[in-house]
Amino acid sequence: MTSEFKSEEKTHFGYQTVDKNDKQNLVANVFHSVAAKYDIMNDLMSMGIHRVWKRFTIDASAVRPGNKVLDLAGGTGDLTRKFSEIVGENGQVVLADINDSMIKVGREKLENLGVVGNVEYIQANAEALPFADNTFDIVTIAFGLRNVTDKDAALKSIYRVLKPGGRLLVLEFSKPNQEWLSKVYDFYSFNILPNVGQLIANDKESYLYLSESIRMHPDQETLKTMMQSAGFDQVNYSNLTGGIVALHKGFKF
Amino acid sequence: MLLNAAFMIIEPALNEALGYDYNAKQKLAKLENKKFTVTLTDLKLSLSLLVINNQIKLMTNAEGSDCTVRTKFDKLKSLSDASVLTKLIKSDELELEGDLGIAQAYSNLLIESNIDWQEWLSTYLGDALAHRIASVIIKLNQLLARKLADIDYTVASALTDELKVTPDNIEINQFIEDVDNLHAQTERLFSMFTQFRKSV
Ligand SMILES: C[S@@+](CC[C@H](N)C(=O)[O-])C[C@H]1O[C@@H](n2cnc3c(N)ncnc32)[C@H](O)[C@@H]1O
Repeated sequence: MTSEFKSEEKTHFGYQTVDKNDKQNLVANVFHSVAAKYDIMNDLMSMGIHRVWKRFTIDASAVRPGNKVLDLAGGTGDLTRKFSEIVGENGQVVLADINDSMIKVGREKLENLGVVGNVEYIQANAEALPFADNTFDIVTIAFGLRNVTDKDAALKSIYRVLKPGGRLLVLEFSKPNQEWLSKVYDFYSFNILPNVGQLIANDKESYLYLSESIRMHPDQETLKTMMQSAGFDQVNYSNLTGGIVALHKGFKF
Repeated sequence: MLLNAAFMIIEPALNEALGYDYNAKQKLAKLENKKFTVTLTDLKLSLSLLVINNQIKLMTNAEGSDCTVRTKFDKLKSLSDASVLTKLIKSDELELEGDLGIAQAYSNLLIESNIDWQEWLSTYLGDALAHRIASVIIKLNQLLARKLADIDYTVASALTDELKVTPDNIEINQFIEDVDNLHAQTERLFSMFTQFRKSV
């Protein structure tokens, strides 16, 4: 084995460099351990703003009754819930996630809320989606892409399962567009957030990983280029909350 | 993004307010999956309404709208009376696109409901802003009514003008008879002509 080949098998886990196969397990552990407290932490971490980011995503999806939607890395199903309401009985929403603990928590939550009938839950890896070509009108991946080991493979796989005319929406942490905001945000994510994680979820490590993985994630322009390389057209993005989060949109024609 | 944050407060409140209007349900049912958009080009701002499951959804995305009103906020502000309205329409500073019936149905739903808009908005936006927005909404509604009346008028006047020049039955029969006569005369002329050629 050449040393180059070896280095290709390495990837990032937060700030650590780890074997590619290990990353998937490590990510799985993070989400197994945070699944139960995930929703509370989401609200706390983002001070509730994640709800607005998600609403903005639904708005940008232009979803209509009858559409078929894939909520990839759907976790506890916030987006699935909103999509399910709009696509109605003639539409369908598939919540896919690699982690069965997250799916379980999501499924229970949605069923308790009465979200049933047009939702399906599937354990799947974004890198190799188990759906036929040209299946979905809309694919969303919210706060999920940064955890995926091979992002290019995931983007290609998403492109494949989209119908022509369909769109992908990637909601993900990104690079703040103001220096001062970056500083405040760094302080928050490395000093405050892990401690809140420790306090609420008794899990400092996982939240430290979250903060680190956010920093390692490609910035706005890089992700845009990656989407274009995967085949997407008319790719553009909106910065939300000063670029802390960005919503990328791309079409398959 | 900010608008979406505002929608999160306004949308449920709006649906609750409509819940008190017992006519609303029927009107909402007619608007199911119909999207209406107001675009203010100078502010680069779009507001769309869509009814899903008898609930109004607010959004900024105008894609797939069934009816769109496009104008400048600037122009709306300056609306003071009907003559300005007409001028606006005539000078193409207000465009209407799509199924105007949808615009009308939304306006029926929102304006003719028993909601006191100014009062309602002021709990969210403060009195001054609420007054401004309420008056813009009311003006838009007037505008729409006017435009619809305008279209009715256009259609009606087109029809009467047309009627004036439309031939009646007698005229048409006369015309057919004339054509028949002409036809017979030509035939006769033609046979005379062939005979004449034979004889030379
Ligand atoms: C931060 S959560 C986001 C959940 C949800 N979309 C939301 O916005 O609240 C990230 C999710 O991505 C999932 N995930 C990580 N890697 C994945 C992969 N390769 N394929 C599918 N899902 C993955 C995790 O299991 C986790 O549920």
